[in-house]
Amino acid sequence: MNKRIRLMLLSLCAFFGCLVVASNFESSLRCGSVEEQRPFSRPTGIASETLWQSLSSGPRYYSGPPEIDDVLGRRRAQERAHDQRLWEHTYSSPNIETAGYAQQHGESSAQHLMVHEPEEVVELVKKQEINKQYIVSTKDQLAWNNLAYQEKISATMQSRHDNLVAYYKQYQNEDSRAQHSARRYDALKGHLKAPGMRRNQEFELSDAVNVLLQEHDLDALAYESLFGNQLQHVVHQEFIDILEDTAQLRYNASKFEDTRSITTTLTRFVDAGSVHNNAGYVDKSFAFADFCWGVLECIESINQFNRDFSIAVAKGTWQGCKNLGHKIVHPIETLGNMAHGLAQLCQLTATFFDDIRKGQQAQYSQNMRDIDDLCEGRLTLEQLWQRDKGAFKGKCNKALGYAWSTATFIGQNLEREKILCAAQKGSEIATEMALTHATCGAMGSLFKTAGSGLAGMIRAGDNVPKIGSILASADGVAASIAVGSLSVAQETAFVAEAIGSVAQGTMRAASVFDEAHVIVSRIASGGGGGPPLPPDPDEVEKAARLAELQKKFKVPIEGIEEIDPNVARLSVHNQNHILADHHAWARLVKDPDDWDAVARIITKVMKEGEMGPYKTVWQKTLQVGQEKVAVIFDYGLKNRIEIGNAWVVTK
Amino acid sequence: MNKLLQEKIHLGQFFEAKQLVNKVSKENIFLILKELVYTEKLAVYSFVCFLLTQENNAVYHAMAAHFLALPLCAYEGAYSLGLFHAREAVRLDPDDVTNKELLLLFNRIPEHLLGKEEAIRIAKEILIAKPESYAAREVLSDYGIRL
Repeated sequence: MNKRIRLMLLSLCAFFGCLVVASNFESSLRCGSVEEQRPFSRPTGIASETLWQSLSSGPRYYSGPPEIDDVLGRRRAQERAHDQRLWEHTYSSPNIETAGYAQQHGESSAQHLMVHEPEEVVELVKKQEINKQYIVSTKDQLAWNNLAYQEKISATMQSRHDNLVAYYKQYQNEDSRAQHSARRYDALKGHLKAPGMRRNQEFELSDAVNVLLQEHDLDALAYESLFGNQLQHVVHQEFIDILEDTAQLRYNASKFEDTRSITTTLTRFVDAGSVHNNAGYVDKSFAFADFCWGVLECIESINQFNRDFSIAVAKGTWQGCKNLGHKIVHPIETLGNMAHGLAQLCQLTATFFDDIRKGQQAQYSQNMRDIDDLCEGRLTLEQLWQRDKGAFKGKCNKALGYAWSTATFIGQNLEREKILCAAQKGSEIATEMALTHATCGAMGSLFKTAGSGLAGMIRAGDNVPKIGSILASADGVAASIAVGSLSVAQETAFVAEAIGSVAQGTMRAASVFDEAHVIVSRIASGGGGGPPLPPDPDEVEKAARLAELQKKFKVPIEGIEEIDPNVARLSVHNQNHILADHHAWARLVKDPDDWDAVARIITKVMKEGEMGPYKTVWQKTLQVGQEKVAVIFDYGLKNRIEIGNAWVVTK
Repeated sequence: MNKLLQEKIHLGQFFEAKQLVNKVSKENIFLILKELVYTEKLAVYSFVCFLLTQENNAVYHAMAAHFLALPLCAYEGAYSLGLFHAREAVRLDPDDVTNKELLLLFNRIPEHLLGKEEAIRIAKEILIAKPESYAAREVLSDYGIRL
């Protein structure tokens, strides 16, 4: 019995044991099958949340630095793997609606977004609200086998798409440029209905604008009211808006440091445009306003880039341009490149002057010759590459900056008083003349003389596309810049238009230069011919001083305003030696014992003369009038120039 | 070392000064003395002369010629002395064309101590060894001789 009972108990145990084992086995089988059939098992090894978050918030269509590309590449691979699973499941699903959804959209959610939605909308995916929505919807996809969920997701996708489109439209509506255009249009209509109607209107300036104006020695009162027609009021309001934006840019410490240097240019442009507006030249003032808006939007775009892709910008200007160059698919981004170019231009110009300041005249001249030759087509890219591989990119880049310098220099050097005076006289020629004067003065500082400055301007204006095409063939990096500049010139309507206006203005200024020159000559000779400009006291004083100096010389000599410190510190003993009769200074100077006059000639030779060595002794020679003047010198302690002797060469 | 050397030269202690420059190459001695000559003037030239008494070579002569042609040129007779040193430098090292270039300088100066014919001959010699020579080309060009 006991044995039986024991046997039964054992059997029962075995039975229940088998049941447990079987149950476990079934359970394990069930679990396994469920695991195998799970449709949205995400790729292992990467945190799903992080992946999707980065996919939704990251620069998905950005092609930037390699490290970013690599990360994106890996992420996209993961995304593709995920999409593949989604795709298979969608088609293997017995649900008709699911299959229909897939067929209707043709691809996965991510692919759908990439292909069908406008790029402007894609950019907006970065917005935080959309991110959250995106993540939520992605989480929801995990329960795909539930019909309710499928419907919900379908609706969510549609909703998200609608939201994005709405954002896009909202963005369009908020576009300040579109608003300004609409206001201009309304004002024009109003003006056409009542052309003679003019009234005084008050305008409100913020504290920031007041500070900005004060900083640039501009009168805020001139901006606080305007007597004019409706169109003039509209453009005046635009200038105030531009000043507001410029002030924000200047005082809110833009991350993009170069933008601060552009704010001065913007303020000058606004001032010049405002003067034109006050004088009734509304079309011209619109051109100034357009340019300012274009630049401001460029800067905003760049700042956006900085916020999103700080790594790219941190890699430096050139690299930043390279990366940005890949992104030229949209006007805003193209504008970004342009702003970058403008900022670069400021840096390049500074470099040029820095070169001069450091006394690297020879190197500077050679660089300028190369750049000139490149612009003129006398030097091919291959020749430049063969000659100077090290500076190849730099020179190409400078050539581009050279071409663009026209616009910037005009902006930085418009002289309010002269234009205001001319504009108030109501003479368009006088305005142009003043503008030309300011322009040539500005360009003169780069090209030394107004004549060559003018030629340089024309050359620069002609060669923008040419340089762009030259650079396009250079290499990938230069190509990015070139594409950017060409895009600005050809495709980006409003900035190209603004730049074009400035370029046209420059060319027009150039074309009236001769006429203006004649008028100025006539004014100078008392013959009239146009409204006289008020004499600049500094200019008058300078001219008088120069005229007095010229009396010391037998022939007119330019560039004698200053005396080189290395010449000035020569001892009396050395001065007397240099003034010796057989040094023949009497050929050039009325009083050969006048050290001041001789010192000015020596300074000129040291500045402009041709240099060569006599073993360890350096000589500079220069043709002054009919005579050749020689100066010998050496580099002493701390490379200081030590002048030994100077004389007029006789045989 | 420069300050100490300057002090020794200033005090006329040329033997001690020579001890200081013994370890320095002749070319570097020139660079050091070139910085001192604008303050110590004739003392530095005298020190070079002292070095020449110790060792008569082209480098020291060229150094002396340089000092006399530039920092000391305001002294009467400096160019004549400089010409002597330049000639000696060429005589002691005729293969060094740069010494001949230095010699040509004495044709360029207002005193024209080196005559036209000799200058042209030397310039042509220089051009054979150093066709790009600025000094030789300028001399010939000024005399209207085509290269």
